[in-house]
Amino acid sequence: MEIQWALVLFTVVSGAGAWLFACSMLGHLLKKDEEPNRAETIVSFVLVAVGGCMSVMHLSHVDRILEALNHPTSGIFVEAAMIGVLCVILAVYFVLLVRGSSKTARTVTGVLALIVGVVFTYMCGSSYLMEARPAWQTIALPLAYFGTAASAGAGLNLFMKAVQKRGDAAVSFAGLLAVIGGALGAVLAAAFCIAAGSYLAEAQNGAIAWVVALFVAAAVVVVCGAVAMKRPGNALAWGTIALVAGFVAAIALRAAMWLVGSPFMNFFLVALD
Amino acid sequence: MPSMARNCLVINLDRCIGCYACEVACKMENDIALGERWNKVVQVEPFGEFPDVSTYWLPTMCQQCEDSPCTHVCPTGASYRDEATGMVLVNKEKCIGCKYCMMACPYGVRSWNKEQRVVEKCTLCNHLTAAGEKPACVKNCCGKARFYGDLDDPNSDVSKELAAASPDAIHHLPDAGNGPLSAYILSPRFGEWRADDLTQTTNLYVTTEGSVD
Amino acid sequence: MATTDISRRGFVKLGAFAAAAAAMSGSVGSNLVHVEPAVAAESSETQKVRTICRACLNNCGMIAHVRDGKVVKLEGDPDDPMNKGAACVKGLAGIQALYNPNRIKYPMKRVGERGSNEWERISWEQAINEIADVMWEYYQKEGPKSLVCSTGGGGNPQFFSPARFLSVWGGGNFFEPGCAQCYLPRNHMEFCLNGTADTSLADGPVTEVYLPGILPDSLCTPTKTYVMWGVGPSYHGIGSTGRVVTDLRNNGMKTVVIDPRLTPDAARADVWLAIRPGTDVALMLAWMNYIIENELWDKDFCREWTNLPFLVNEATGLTYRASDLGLGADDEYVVWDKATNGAKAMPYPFDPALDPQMFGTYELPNGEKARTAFQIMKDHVAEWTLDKAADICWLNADDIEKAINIYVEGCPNAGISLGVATDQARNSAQAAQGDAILDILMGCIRQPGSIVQDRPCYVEPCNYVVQPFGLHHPDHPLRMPEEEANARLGYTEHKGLGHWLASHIPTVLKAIETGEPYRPRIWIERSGNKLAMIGNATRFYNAMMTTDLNVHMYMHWTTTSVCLADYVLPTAEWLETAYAQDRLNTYAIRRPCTQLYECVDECMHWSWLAAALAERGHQRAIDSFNPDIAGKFYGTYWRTYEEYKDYVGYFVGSFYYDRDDWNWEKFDAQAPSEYQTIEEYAAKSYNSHLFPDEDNPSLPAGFHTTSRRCEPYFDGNILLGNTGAVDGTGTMEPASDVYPKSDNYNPLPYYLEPFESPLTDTEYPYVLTQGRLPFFHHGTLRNTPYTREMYPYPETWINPETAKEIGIENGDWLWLESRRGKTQGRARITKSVAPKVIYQERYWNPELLDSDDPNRAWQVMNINLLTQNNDECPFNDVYGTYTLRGITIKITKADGAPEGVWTEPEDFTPWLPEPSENTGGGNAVYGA
Repeated sequence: MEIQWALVLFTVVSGAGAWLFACSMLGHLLKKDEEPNRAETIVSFVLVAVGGCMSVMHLSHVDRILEALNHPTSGIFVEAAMIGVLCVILAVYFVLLVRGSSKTARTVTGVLALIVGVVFTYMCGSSYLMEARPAWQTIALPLAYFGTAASAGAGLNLFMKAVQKRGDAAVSFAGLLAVIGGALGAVLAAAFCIAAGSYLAEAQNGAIAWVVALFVAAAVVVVCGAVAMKRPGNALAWGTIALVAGFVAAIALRAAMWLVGSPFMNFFLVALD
Repeated sequence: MPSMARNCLVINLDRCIGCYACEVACKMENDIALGERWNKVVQVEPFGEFPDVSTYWLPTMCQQCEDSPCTHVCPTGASYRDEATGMVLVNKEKCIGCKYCMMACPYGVRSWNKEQRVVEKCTLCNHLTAAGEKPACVKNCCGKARFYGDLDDPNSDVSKELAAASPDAIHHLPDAGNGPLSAYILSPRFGEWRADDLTQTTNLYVTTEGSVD
Repeated sequence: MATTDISRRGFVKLGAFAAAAAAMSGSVGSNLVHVEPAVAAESSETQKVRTICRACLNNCGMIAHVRDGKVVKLEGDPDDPMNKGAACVKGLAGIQALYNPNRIKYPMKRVGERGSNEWERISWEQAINEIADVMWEYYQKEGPKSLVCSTGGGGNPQFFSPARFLSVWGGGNFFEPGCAQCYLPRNHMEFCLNGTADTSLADGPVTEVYLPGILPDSLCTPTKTYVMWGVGPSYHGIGSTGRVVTDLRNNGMKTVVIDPRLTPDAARADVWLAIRPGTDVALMLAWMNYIIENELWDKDFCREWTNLPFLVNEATGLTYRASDLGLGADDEYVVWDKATNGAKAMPYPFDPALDPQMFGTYELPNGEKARTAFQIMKDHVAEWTLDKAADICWLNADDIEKAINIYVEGCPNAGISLGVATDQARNSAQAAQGDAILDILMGCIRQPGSIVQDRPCYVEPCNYVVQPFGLHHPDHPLRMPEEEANARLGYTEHKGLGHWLASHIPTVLKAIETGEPYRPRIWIERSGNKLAMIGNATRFYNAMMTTDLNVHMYMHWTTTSVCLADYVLPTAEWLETAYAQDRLNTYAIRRPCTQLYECVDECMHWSWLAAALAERGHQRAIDSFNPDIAGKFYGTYWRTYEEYKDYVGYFVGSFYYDRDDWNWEKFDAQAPSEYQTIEEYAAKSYNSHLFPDEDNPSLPAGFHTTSRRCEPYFDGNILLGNTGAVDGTGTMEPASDVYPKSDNYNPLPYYLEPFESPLTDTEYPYVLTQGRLPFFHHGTLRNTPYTREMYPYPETWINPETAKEIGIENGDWLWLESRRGKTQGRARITKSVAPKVIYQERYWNPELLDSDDPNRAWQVMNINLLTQNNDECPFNDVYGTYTLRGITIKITKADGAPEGVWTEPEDFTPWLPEPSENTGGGNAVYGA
């Protein structure tokens, strides 16, 4: 099947945004770092929102988008609803931050954003569970969406921390998260690749190349994270590489997914160019 | 609450003579653009040792699945099941063009209307059937191989045709869990149903590709 | 003679076309049993018009939905007794053909060089007068031989219009690319042998198969075994023939299909014999041998109702007449009587006091030795074992045996239909003989369920309403003069052509090329695309480029118009024309639904030309407008379309309904309707040879042959060769002067290996065949978008084994090359054909007409660049058939598709219909 780039970028960008906030929040909850600040919240919000808009590029009749309210159980509705909710929560969090409201309120809101965000990245993958695409019909697919979104978000998080020159502990913890994010991406993507192995082997359309890129990129995120963890003082370069590698891993997984998504049967030979 | 009707097409492959009239009848009736189709005949590529080979022609269209993946994934309800007739239909006014239903259809029998930029499919000619007529493909079928009606109505054409067929001659397209309603009749006298072999594209002769955009 | 008051009986006895007409004897009465309203209002805006299709020659019943003068929808007519609501791709494409942007809309005159595709629009008046000027000039200078007219089976022909015109013109030549290559051999030869009808399912005489489901079950014996020999009902008259064979097969009829190609009917056959193209007669001879050797033939029928027991003069090949041996009258034959062990006169009908020997050699009173006709046949086929046939035909002997036995088990409620395939090879006449012989041997003649039936068949092209003057009346003043008829090109050599008043295409070309024996100057052509349909098209093109005037009448621009024509005349699609057609026991009507631009039914083109010649003083043309000379049966030529329509109404009324006062309005008011009950229709054939003879009711009617028996030993072939030219009719009356036997056509079928044989040809190792597709009829519908979308380029079918040998894969573009040319196709690797057998159908590409080289439109993917019609490749003796199927070719891989051809669905967008107003057509702007 053909790569649907709008949908690829949608889940990568919004997923990275969700995971950026989640990583920041996690550092804060584990007392390794400050709470997510304005910049991180804005970047998260923007990425989630821009990602959401990218999904719209895939549509031919955006004007009818409100029709989605008619069918609230579809995967796409759930994704759209979660994006909306996540944006609202992030906005609330931002307002609380700006107004300097109670810390508890901020933490509760932040935890909510964390949970909604990471679940959202799983849900993005679960929309593709359909019998008509046997290669996708595995729980490993949403897990791999979740994992590679984590790779991208954790790489971005490391980059953000390094750019902001946070303390060594914070950057080091961001490095650890990058190691974990990269590993999550690699392991869960590997699970998907194993589940879809026969389709992958049959695909003659470059899917294998994307898979190779996926694992190299995920490994790069892990390595960058590890180095940054050890040498937090000099993390900007590693953070930059991890950011790029994380996005590459997430994109590569999705590209491979589309390419192995051959239909159960295709009588009309319609290609979704 | 009474259960919905189960309207669908039943196709007697013993009678299908591979003439493709249903394709053009469908296109004329529904004014379908070049490169698009709601109905298509594919040939099961002759198999066996020459000259003892078998083949049959397999008209394909929306199978009116009982557990229809297209309606499940549709975010807007544009793909829906009509309560009165039980038909799986598309309300083109609601379609946002996300194409998830095309991805979710196990048979690739949905069509993309390039001009209107919406998904379409076989409507069982419900503009005709609502007026008591038969779908265009059924009416004009040269082998009289196509039947339309409600499986739950024992007096419908589909029920009668299935009742007349030997149980070992009644087949469905490979089921990915969607429960295709349309049945195909192929008697052992005329050919061997290829069952799951049909999912192997090399076993089918399918011409004229189409594309979305 | 008075031609206005001819009775049907007289009609039957007169013509060479008795095959079609014979069973019309007896009153058809006035059973207006089933009268449907002509036009039913669907809504205030849409009318449903009951009409009949002409996308192929089956003429299926159709309902046209007409709104605001435009045809908006077509569907099969559920009340038609033959198609019962079915409508095929070709019929449904009628709207896209009607409103096609490629319509020839107005008379056009060439302004550049011939073939330059530069035109100016002219008026009908100018066109008719300028053409008539040239014709009149040549008529006065060189006589009627200067003119050649042609037609074709595709695209709404009035099939006998050209021959009708030539009868008025007073000479000249008529040809069509089918004829000797399609249907004439079967139509003529099978009737000659079985005295009943031919066996073509596509062309109409096979009526029996339509009776189950219509006739009450108690009166009906469905066919038990149907042998379809090169017959693909699913792909020719689909709505009628495909539907009905499916019905019977699903109700238990066994089938044998003999076809190199795995058609839908072959796929469902009890036995499919994938015969090597061009070897059918070898297989028939083996079937005959098997049936004779195993004594499977019908003893009573062969003894009493065939000429098989008759003794044959070994010197002349003719059956003895009793008068030859002083044993009796000259209309009696001679048998060897077992009881008296002597030669006895066999009168008509069979004398039960005699017990004739079927086989043996006997010494006659005059001392000559003579074999029975059956013994000659037995000796003739003795070498044809199943193994020998299997070897030649690339079949398995066991499969052949199984096929024969399935056939025999069904007899006599069974039969063989012979399709077009054998008409397209040099063994055409012999295949028709073989087919007829098998059914005769098995007694499958006029029995319930048998394929050969004695019923009127007005579906076939030889019984179009519009007929040549004098066709059935030798003394008609407007019949083509005998000396001119005998001067038709190739007729002397191939006298079977006389049955359709046709000339021999290669001989016509030779005359144009060499001026011998005379040079035709003017070519008037009414059909789609001769360059795609005629064998060895390059030769045809080169010859026709040298004529002085070419006129093309057609609905759509083709390579004939663009590359060869000087004038192009707009012709009407079937949805624009008025006509009448027999559909089983129902008479159906074609109602004009609209008339576009200045298009006109071709019968008016010819009428207007005749009128213009009349103005110039052409006496026969003047006479053709005189009712006293033309007579009511043929009608005069018509000055307006209304006159023509009234003639059609008159003809149908007088011939079918015994009404002498019908016009179009009266026909239209009740059509379609049954002209007899289905029970009458069925019963009139079964054992009709036993019915009392109309002229002499003390005798049985017998068969329509010289001996009034079936003549499987067809010594009439010898007479045909000698006497066919006598009166230009090809009549079977015995001749007084018999030429040496070596000059004669053989009374028995014999096998000829194809001239180019894959058995010996190492340079061109593969054998090419063709065959129908459900999307097109002959050269038609290559420019309708939906048909082209479904079949955008010709598929080259190749067995996987052969594909591997050549090194090609599915979808590869190929070059196919014979000794006469090369062309392209696209590979489909499939087990639908045998190894070494290649299948590809005729094709041409209208999208190239407006290119820099319009000739490429008939060249790039046209299998007829490879086929034969040249003198080096022998023709069939009786009909002059040239070889279209069973030639040798080689195949190589091409770089890609021919440049500029359209293959993607959207490519055909420019051909989508452009709905147009009902203008009344050319009839609204011109009248003679």
